[in-house]
Amino acid sequence: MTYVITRLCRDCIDTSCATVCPCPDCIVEHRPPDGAATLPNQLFIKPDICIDCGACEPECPWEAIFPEDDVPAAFAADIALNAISGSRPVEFVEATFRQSLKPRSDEVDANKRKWEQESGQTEPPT
Amino acid sequence: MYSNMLYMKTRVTFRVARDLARSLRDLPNQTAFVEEALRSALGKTCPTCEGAGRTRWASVAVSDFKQRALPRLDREGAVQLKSLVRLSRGLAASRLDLAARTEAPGFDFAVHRGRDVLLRGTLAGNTTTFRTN
Repeated sequence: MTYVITRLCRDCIDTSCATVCPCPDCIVEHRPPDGAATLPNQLFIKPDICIDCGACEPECPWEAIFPEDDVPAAFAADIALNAISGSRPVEFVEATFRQSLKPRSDEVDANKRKWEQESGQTEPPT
Repeated sequence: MYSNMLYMKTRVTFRVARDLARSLRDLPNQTAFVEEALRSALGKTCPTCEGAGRTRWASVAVSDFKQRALPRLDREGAVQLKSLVRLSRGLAASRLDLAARTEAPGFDFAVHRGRDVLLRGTLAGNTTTFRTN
């Protein structure tokens, strides 16, 4: 089991997770050498490099990182998406340092709702 | 098939005893054998690649936290471990083993290259301590 970066990361990449990740090639972005990226604009965790230390999870300002077993059903497809980074390593590079303004909690919640709706699965209110 | 490297080498002729010449002729790769013997005798064999020209290890295998039941890493510990992983790569290490400390928070570590232990030490908070073997 490894950690997985879900679609909650998309288009708002903050590399705080890569800053703390102990394994230099673990958290990567899709930058294929020949042409534009065909995968979503987000970070990915290489499952074969991840050592399950859990350091990245609390660092993500968008709460986009989950242990593989705890990935919400709405984002389950992202497990396979992260696995691509392990099977096509030449297309991925170590995430370069970028730090964005930390989102407010209501922005984090809105981002979750947006992607859950897009996936067609909204979690029942608790 | 000949390696390209063969054409970049210089031919050397030398005299040896008849029995040694016979043994040498029986060797499947005379050039590599003589070169290795010379390098070894001159103490020029690279300690990390052992004369191969490239290290045997693709990357450093770091202990899996779940498999080893290690406590979750905090921010300080993660940054310390990151430096240690980079150091291990610089040393062409093959494995970085971690074990939870029983008497205090933090991890004991051992950096291996094959069967050799290159470094041992402790990661605790924002401090890394190295121990000599």
